[in-house]
Amino acid sequence: MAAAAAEATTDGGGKMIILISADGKRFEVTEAVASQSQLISNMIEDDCTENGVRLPNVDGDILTMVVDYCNMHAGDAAAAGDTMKASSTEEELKKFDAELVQALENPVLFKLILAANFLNIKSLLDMTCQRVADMMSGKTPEQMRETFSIENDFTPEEEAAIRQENAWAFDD
Amino acid sequence: MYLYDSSSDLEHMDTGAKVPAQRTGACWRSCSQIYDGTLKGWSFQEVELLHMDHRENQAFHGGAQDVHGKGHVIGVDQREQLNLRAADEQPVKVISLSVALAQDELPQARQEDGFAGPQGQLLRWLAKERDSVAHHGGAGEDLGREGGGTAHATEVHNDEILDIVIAFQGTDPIPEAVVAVEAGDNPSLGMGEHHWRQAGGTQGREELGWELADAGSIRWGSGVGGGWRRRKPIEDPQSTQLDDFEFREEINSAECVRSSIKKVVFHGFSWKNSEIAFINSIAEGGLVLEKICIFQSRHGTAPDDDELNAKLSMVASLNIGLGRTEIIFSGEDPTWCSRAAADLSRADPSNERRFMLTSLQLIHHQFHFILSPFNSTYRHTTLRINPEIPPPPHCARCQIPSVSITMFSLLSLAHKLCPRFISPNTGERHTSTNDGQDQITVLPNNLLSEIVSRLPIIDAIRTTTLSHGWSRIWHSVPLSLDHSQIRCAGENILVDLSNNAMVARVSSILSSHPGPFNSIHLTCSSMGSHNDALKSWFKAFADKHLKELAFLNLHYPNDIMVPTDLFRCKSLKRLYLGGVQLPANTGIIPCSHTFHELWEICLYRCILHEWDIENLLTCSPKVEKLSLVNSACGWPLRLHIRSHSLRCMLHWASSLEELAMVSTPCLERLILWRDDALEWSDCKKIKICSMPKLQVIGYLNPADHVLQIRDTLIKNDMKANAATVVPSVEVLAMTIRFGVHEEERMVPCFLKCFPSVKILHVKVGILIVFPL
Repeated sequence: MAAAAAEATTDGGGKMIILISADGKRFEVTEAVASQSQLISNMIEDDCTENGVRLPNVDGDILTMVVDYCNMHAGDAAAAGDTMKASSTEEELKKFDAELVQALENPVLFKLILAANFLNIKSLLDMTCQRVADMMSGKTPEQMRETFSIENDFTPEEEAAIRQENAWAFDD
Repeated sequence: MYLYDSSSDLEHMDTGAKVPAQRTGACWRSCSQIYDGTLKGWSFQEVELLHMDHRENQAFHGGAQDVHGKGHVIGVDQREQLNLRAADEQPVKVISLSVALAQDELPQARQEDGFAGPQGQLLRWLAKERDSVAHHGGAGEDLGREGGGTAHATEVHNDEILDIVIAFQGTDPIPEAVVAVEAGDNPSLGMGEHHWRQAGGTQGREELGWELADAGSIRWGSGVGGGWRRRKPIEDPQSTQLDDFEFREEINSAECVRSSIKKVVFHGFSWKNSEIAFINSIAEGGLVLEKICIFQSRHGTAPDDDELNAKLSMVASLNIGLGRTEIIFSGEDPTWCSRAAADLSRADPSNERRFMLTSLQLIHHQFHFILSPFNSTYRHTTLRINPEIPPPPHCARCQIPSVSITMFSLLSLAHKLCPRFISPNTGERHTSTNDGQDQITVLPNNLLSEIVSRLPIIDAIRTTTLSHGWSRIWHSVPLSLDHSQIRCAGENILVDLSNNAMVARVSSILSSHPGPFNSIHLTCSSMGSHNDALKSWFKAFADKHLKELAFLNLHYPNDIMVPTDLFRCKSLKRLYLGGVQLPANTGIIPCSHTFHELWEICLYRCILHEWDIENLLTCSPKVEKLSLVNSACGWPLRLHIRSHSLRCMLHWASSLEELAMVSTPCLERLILWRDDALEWSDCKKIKICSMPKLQVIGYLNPADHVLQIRDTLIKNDMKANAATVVPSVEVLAMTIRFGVHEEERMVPCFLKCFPSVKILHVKVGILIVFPL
């Protein structure tokens, strides 16, 4: 079992890939970790990762988070066959995820969403979007604007007209 | 396939803590909260007619009502009459009448003319009632003579009370004379004889055509009482066919027992000799048997020490599978279970730990777990599901029963159709830093859509007023609407929100969203007065390409006719309808292949008309799952299923005269499910014509079902031949009332019909269950 697992690691995840952020930071990760990004996974398939993968849309600090996230979750994926291990790390992962998104300030959170979208990492995109949704839910429009500093560019008449469509939703 | 015998748990989860008490299984106890009528100075705990009573009705309408709109609640009014109140103007069919008397209200002494006092009065009334129903062609005069019931008096005729169940609490044994008085002097009922014998009243009941409800679950002398019911005659409830060597031989020589059954799951084990004998007879013949799982009855009691020891040694001595068979015991009481298992292990000479134990709490936990995928739909809110379920205890060798799609479908179905009680997310809110810059609008629209799609509908609508950039985001996200979300903060959807307001909100959402519609889950009441709204909704469903519809009408009468626009919903993949009638096929809509995408159909508490199902199937060339739950027809309905795509059919307590699988080449599962406490025959005849891929069938119930395979009725004296054999079936489930000889005799017959069964589920049929 252990031997098989080790072999799988050298086979599937042994090869290293260099990710290069917009500001030139370099991250060395295994293929298994990197291929959680559908974008990179496709590049690996197309064999065009030799000279490192340039990610001009992603800042170094954001990419640090993404790589952390992928490292955590790659362990999960590798252990999927081994149910005991998976269940023991499940709690940890949840905790890690929760801490990751809760600690973020809004601008960073949005950048992370953009990065997850660009890199096409579905689970990270899910998690971050859900975080924003959680921050919005249960709030009045005014509170939502406040939370995210959204500028109200409606005239009062325009806003009233929109509210009219589903007036009940605005009864507080 | 694992079918857990407690539908109450299932339902309990759906509605969270809102439901006052469990309906099924614990009906005696819970109903006392609902009925508290008085009859001349003494009180009933419960008097009610059980038809297809569903606990939802109690939860949401405060009183038991029949699900089919042929409603009838018997209450007891001050004028000493049992009073039939029908919920609507439809004819009444009394299927089952049950009465529970409060403790200390039992007739204690018998007088010459029967029991004095109110008890006797009631019992005489019952006897007369049944008499008049059975022999004067109708109970109208009696049932309807008071108050609101009179309107329906004339409509009762031609129906009959099929079962009367009486349960007593308090004394033991059942006072013989109660039954005698109750029987009256009417020989035409076969009840004329007065000589009830003490000893459990066995003889007398037999003569009366009554039988012990479930000897195993009645605790004589322990204060719970007993019950019996009139049904098919029983020969001797104390003995069992299984004592008969030849009969046992017949079971263990069945082909499937000899050569294919690997696992037997026994539900509702209550330590009766007949049950042990059954397990033994399977075990004797089972050459390839690997595992026996025994689930102790949740309502039965463990025998006392001496008895237990005796029975444990019987079990331990089972001659099972050359010692290789694993036996798993499970019960609600972990201490008891561990004791039984410990004793069994000690008694087991080979000491190979054949006996395992597990606790039902694990199964509860499993249910909890199963629900999680459904919860995930509501990530943004906290869905409270039976919070009191404890986590599973640590158990050295936990055995979690596998739960198959069957349970999933039941759950998903119940889940989708039941209103959810969702408490608003009270989780901590982070006050975010606000540096005065509009940060979120840097996200492209597709990502804003991602966010909005994760919001409850009310919040999603509110985002339209944030700014110009946000104003069309909600409109661009396919609509997923669940009625439980159509409420403002702090509103309780059942209490605070009027039906009119609810309808108005739904209408405004449906008209303001341009589509496409992803899923619409609506639970409504009193839609009868909103016919126009209903039409506009279904028009919107059709025009805006709805994919999944769950529409449940809670209110009675359920004569809501679904608008014919339903047939224009060509994008439908899942269709769940409850408490409605299907649109009549007027011929306007071309029937063929309307629902190109439809994959699953569930009709829940629907009034069926002839050809409704057939039409629906014809319109749905890709349907794979069909569920009929609590649905019925006004008259005996013979349902002939023809579908080239159907893979799973669930029939759950729907009243059918005949269910004939005429041509279903792809059918893999035929699930026949019923609630224990609902005492009525669900489907009388199961006809299997052409099902080459059928793998799972059950629970077959010889008390209710007549099985016909192709052209042959399966009877207990027939010989198996190629025409009566269904070799594809691998999982067979049966409900048997041990002690009822004619049902026991059907066991080998069923076994012979399915020679390749690998897993056999046996559930002990229970007529009345008493909670401990």
